[in-house]
Amino acid sequence: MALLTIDNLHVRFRTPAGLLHAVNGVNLQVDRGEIVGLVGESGCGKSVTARAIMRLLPEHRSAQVSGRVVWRDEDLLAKSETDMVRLRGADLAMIFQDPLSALNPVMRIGDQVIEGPRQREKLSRQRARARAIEWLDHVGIPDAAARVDQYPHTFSGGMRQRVVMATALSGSPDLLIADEPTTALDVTIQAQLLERLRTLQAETGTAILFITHDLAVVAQLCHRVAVMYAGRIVEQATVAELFAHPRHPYTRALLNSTPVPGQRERLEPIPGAPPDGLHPFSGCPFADRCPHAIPACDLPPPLEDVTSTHRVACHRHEELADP
Amino acid sequence: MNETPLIKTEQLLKVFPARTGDVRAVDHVDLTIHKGEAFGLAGESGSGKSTLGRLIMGLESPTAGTIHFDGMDLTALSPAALRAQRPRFQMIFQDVRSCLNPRHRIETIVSEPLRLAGQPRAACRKRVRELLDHVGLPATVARRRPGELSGGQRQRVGIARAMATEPECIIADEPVSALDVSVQAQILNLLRDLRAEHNLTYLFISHDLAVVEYLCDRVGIMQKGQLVEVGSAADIFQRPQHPYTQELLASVCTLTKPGSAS
Ligand SMILES: Nc1ncnc2c1ncn2[C@@H]1O[C@H](COP(=O)(O)OP(=O)(O)OP(=O)(O)O)[C@@H](O)[C@H]1O
Ligand SMILES: Nc1ncnc2c1ncn2[C@@H]1O[C@H](COP(=O)(O)OP(=O)(O)OP(=O)(O)O)[C@@H](O)[C@H]1O
Ligand SMILES: [Mg+2]
Ligand SMILES: [Mg+2]
Repeated sequence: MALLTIDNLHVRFRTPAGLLHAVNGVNLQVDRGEIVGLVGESGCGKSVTARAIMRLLPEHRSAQVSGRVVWRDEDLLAKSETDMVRLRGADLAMIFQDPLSALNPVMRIGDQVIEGPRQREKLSRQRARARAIEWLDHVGIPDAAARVDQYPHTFSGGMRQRVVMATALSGSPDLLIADEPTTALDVTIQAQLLERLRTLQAETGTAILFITHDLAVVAQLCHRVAVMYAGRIVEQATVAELFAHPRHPYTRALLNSTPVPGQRERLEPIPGAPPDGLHPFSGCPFADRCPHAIPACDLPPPLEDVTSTHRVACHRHEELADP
Repeated sequence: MNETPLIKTEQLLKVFPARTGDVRAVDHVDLTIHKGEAFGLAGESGSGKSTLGRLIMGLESPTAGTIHFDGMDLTALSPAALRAQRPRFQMIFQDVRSCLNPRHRIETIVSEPLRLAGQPRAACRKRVRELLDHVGLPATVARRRPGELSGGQRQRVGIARAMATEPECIIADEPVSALDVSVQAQILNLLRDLRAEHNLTYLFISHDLAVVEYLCDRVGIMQKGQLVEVGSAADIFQRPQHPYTQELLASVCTLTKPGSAS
């Protein structure tokens, strides 16, 4: 059964240059115990989608949100702020993209890691500290017992990112939304952390929506993956299907612009830029950068089933499929 | 090369005192970077890469050792003399968000180094537009504030600002790690082109070895504050000597592109 169902989500922002369409009708489902990767180019709406789920957009100022975000039969978009505060503390956790701004600079690392459970379970100071050390150890902070009482500025970029991860996990949420949680990590530590995350996930059944631009991480960690472009999901599949048989020209282009070890020849970025969101249009959003575009691409491509677990929004996906 | 190196550190040491024992963040590092060179610095998280970059930028003062920039001893320069050298080297920070003033518009942020260098307003505005275009941002972001941009867009604002004064040397701390592959490719190509056109020097800090290999001529590997191996990119990646370098290379999680395997 679906734990979270995003249904026709739209987000628009009022900006000095006009109304910016950041999310344009996203449909996505996350099941209990599932790890779903959300990938896509910078600015395509990944973080905004995450913040919409958590109800953390400036709804009273510039953001207009519509659609439904169903969490266990209840629409989160209809909830009061009081209810959301309760949910965010316990059932839903989010790791933000900027690890430093997510940490309180004047609060000790250990207190931040264990703040949630400490209040809920009324842990003694000593018990809380011991648990914080355990969590820091879990995410691979060396010498955790000595580090637990220090402040964020004394931690390196990658260490802070792991602290943020520990903070989110310590509350045993049912759903964790992790926005680029491993960007500051070197490969060795990233591999260890992903391994831990997977073990932990298998033990606790926490569902994860994992936002990343790193396709290699998706391949390593996720069960399913959704590819986002210009505020829409353009392809969705199991990890095995997506990497073996990508159907959308955008997904293929993404796979081809990744540098591989040993690469010295010039990288091939996708030509052009994604739409800026200020000029709404009706056709395929990728058409003007797509090598396979045809006149029919002026019409919006429907999201079609390739298999029961693989869907793609491209008019030409069948003829372009691998033989 | 017998030309004066652009950056030269000797026995550079930075110790952070802590109740539970001092942290030797940078432990007697000797590093030489020549003009026009792209030097990559990789290594374990917490090994001292950012601290080394910050020491060279003069944002931290060394516990011991010296740093020479173009033959000048930075640790001996007066603050005024140091300020005069400032436009010659710029840093792109790892934690971009924390160094972009959330209340300022992007236009103000990117043009700040230009205004400090005394450039007229109109010239600044034109240059900002040009810089934003270089890093693949639409001109409309100029009037927004950092909180109204995506993570990758903010990162590119940091890059645009560092490039504003056309510095001779850029210390880039994980400049592309927050970027998706396509924008990353665009920025890496831009960094390569700028270097070819202006003979720029880079100290390029990254945990992404494929990126380091793509961009850099020489590479240094750090572990626990020490520079454990330095060599040409070819040597480091094909014939790593130090066990830590070997371990680092072995754990790269790579992606098999479709078509190259099934
Ligand atoms: N508060 C805001 N006001 C106006 N525009 C915004 C705001 N927040 C985000 N945007 C815009 O919405 C679009 C989507 O942003 P979002 O942060 O979701 O991108 P993203 O997919 O997470 O990208 P990245 O990989 O760079 O983090 C971008 O064009 C961004 O500039
Ligand atoms: N202001 C400070 N006070 C105390 N310790 C510090 C301070 N700044 C850094 N350190 C410590 O120095 C060591 C090196 O940190 P640094 O930020 O240079 O690492 P790094 O190689 O950049 O790591 P990362 O890849 O995670 O960014 C770490 O152990 C860190 O905790
Ligand atoms: Mg984002
Ligand atoms: Mg660092």
